[in-house]
Amino acid sequence: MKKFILLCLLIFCLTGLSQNVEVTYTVSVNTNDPVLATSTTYNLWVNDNQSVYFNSNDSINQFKYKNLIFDVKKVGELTKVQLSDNHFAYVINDYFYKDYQKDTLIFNEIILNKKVFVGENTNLFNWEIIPNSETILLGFKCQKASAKFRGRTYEATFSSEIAPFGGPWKFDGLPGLILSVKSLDNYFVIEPLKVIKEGKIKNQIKNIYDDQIIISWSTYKKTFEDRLMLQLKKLQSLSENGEGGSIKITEKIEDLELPEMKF
Amino acid sequence: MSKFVISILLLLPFVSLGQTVKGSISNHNGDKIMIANILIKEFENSSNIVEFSVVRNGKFDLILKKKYNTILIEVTSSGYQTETFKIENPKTEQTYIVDFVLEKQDITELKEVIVVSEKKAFIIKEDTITYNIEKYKDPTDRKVQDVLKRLPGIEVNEKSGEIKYKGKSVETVTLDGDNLFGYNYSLGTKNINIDMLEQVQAIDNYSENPLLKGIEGGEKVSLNLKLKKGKTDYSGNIDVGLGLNNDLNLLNNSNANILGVSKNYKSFGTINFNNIGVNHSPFDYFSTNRSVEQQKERDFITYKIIPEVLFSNGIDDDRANINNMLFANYNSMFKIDDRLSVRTNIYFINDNIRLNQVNTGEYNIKNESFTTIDDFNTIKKPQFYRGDIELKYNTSKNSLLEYRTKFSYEIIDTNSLIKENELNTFKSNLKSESKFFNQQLLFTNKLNSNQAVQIQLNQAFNYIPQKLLLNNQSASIIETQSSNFKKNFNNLIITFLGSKSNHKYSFSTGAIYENTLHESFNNINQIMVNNNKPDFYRKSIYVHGSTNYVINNWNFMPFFSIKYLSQELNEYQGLNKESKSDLLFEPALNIRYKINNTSSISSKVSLSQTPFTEENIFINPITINNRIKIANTPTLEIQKTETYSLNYYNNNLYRQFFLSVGISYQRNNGNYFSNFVIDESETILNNFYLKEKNDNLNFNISTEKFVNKLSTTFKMASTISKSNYKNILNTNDLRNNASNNISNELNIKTAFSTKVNFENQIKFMYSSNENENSITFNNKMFTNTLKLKYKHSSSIFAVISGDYFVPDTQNRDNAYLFIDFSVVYKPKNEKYEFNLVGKNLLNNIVYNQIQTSDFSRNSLQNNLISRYIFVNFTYNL
Repeated sequence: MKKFILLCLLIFCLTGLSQNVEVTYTVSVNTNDPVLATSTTYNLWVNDNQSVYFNSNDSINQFKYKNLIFDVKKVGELTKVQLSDNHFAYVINDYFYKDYQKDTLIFNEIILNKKVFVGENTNLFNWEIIPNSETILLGFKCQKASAKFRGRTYEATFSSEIAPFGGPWKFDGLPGLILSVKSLDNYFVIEPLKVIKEGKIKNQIKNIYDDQIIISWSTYKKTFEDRLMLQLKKLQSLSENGEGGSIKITEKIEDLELPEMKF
Repeated sequence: MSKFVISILLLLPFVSLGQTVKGSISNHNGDKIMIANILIKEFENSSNIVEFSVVRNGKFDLILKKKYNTILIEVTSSGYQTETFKIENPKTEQTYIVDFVLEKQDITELKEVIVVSEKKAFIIKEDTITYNIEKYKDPTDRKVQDVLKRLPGIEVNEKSGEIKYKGKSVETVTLDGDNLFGYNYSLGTKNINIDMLEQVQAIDNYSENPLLKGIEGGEKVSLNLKLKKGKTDYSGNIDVGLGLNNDLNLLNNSNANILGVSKNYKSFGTINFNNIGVNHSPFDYFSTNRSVEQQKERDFITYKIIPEVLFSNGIDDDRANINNMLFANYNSMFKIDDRLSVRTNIYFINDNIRLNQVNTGEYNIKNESFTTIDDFNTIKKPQFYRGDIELKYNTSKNSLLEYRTKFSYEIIDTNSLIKENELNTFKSNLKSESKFFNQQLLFTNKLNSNQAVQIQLNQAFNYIPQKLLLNNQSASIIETQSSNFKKNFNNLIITFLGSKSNHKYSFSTGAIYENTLHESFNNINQIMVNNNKPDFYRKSIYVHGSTNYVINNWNFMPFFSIKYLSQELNEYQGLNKESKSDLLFEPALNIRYKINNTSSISSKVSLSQTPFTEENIFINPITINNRIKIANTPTLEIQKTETYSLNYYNNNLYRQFFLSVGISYQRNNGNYFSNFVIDESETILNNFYLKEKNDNLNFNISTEKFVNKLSTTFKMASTISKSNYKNILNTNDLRNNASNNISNELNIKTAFSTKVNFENQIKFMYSSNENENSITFNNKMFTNTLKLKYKHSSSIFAVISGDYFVPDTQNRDNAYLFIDFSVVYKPKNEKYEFNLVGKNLLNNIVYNQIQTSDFSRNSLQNNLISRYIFVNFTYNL
């Protein structure tokens, strides 16, 4: 009996000491062209040294104007939806893996119609705490911080009452868990829906990118640029003499610092 | 876990160029802690992080961006206890090295904590709570007031229209941020349709004057109604209601509201006429409730000694108020340019109220018992006209000049037929008028961002002439009684306000001059003449000071007032002149401790010294009706009142829990006591002063909780009060009396996802009046209201309700059941709705309530609005 109690205590001790936080967010991307806007739920699971962030819904329901969709096609491993004659998009299937001990963040990106895997550091933001910004969100005491990141200014609300780190998407590096983020231009909005402080996700956090080739952010940008150039050349070859054409990235959360490409 | 002792090593500061904090973080085995945070907090506000650093691999090096007085360096890491280190007056250009050794976290039982936010019912941001109305409203709610009652933390007094938030009376209810209504905010809450409303915001630390924002103390609260944005500048609604009562008389309740909103102009107009007992105005001519404005203007208004009606009703006005009311009101606000704005309000009321009241009294005085019966048949016809103007002029960026003026005229003609003790018949006619004028000039100058000065001039005039003609038809006696009160009130106040970090203060000095001239004349059959002509003057100069210190979670609010008061009473044009001067000191201390963001405990101690009002300045009796005559032995003495109170308040919106507990004790030293001479046909009341004490102890508790598992809100409120007072009855002996009141209330409201929902309210009230030498009069009352709500579809709702009243539980025959119903048809996306209402279906004709005093038990009977069916059509513009 004594052994049993000791065993119970030990198990209890282990579960008591580690954190297993689950957060559900609603994430909206309010694209400049409203037809492409998305709004869907994401899950963030955080334990003592890792986290994953992924969308719980990988169907066409993530599009705000899903009733406009008239064609859904498989293109390789991606699903392409046609929202109008000149609006198409790919169904997003995000998975952000963070390892805080190794200071790595791995996620997937789409270059035109191909998936690539990108690695960065976990601490990408230079946050400034906003003075006197104390607030309460879902019953937790929070503070706000802001940072400029790849072309947009973000305001994040974090709480050290939930976990000492962690956040949705690439957001991290604040002394608490990030509960909500909003870009000041309202392009990218993340709001919390549900927080489970002691969840059951302990062994479910996995690095699914173990067997993949991971490229750096600068390589990703360069590849993107090269593929666009190729696309532009294709366009030029098809056009009549005297016609002009250009490619400009307008619907991306992060600024890839690529200039408008013209011929 | 105490065996692992935390060791924090502080090495001597090295001299370096910046102000740097560096060091290491490890566990007690000496292993580096890989993931941690270093948080810098200010000692004075240790709950907020001012700077931070994310620590990887157990080493940190942080250059502080700002200068601080005393900082706390806190280290947090998952699985370890948080450690803190304090540095007092950190010097610039120095490096502080702090090595932290963290202790493993205690084993704590952690239950699964789930917090869910779907559609948010409310948002808390700084000083404002924004309520999402959709979450709280009921399909049968029609006016803003209906939904305000349901918002947690907000209370609405339906009779006076007063709204309280966090237990404090709100300053005003603004419309998209503009104060259109002033204290008569019930105009907006009683009339604006709920469909025009998007959000309700409750605001803490409200300042009407934008220059005083952040400087002014007083912790004022207000509500703001955020309106739905219409396509045009004008929106509104028209309600047309028609019905038939039991005697096939035509009933109506029609209403039109128009709201104009543009950049420089805002207006709200309402017109209503009804004969089903609804009062859309802030003024109450049916009962004796004072509106919020009347309570605020108490000093400016004088007394009406002869009342139009004897007693007010114990049940809802819409069951008893047999009226025929026309009410019109228009409020507008122009911003003429960036500096000047003008606000005007106009009001008009015309009513015709029919009352049938029977007062049966059982008296027991000195072992002698007798009964009295008075049967009143009264028609009361009030008319009211009023206009207000307010000008606001920004004389410069930092100064504001405000001028407000209002004038009102009221005339009430009341005719009664009275049967006294089933023997004597009286015919009475009472004509009461009231002319009121008030002007106020207020200049505010903001000296700098933390200090401001205000100069305020106030002048008020109120004249209330009354004339009563009482014809005792059985004895052929005609009695005329007139009473005039004329009051002038002037004051000047200079206030200096300031704030310094968490500390707010205000000092003011001022002078008041007021005089009241009274004249009354009594004449019976043109033979016996009795009159009064006193003049009353009161002058005072005073200094007030109040401060508000915030130290961590403590808030200290001391207040003092020193006043030099001189009073003069000329009994009859200079004959028998009496005067008195006093130096009065009034201190008060209010302490509040903020336990956390949702709860606080507060306590108040105060001593106030106030002179008595002009109500009692006449000596000879004034006849107020067939039975009662009032006389006084006036005094210029000062009443000392000590008040002690302790309150606990918790409003946790997230947990949907509210609790308020309070106890208060008040002791008056020196008071007017009543000397009654009562027999079967007459009551003579003489109010006289005695330097004796009376006191009052009050305990109240109210709580509200939404129980998720039962999808039900439970609300409970209890009040217990005990007061000791003295009087004289038919002799010269002073009697000691005690009165006890207990009131308990339980409300249950379900929010099932089914089509049917319930709401039930149980109320139990107990009152007893005891006297040391005579029998005790007591009464128990019980009421239960059950509402059954049926939601047929998204456009059809029905409510059926049963109100059960037992005014005296010892006499179950005197019980009333009221059955009412209402069906709403509100098609989605349409601008109209229909409402079918049936009221008092069992056709109760009268309602009897019981009142006890230390020598009598009175049964007060009122007539009611008979059974009716009513159809209402609403069109939203």
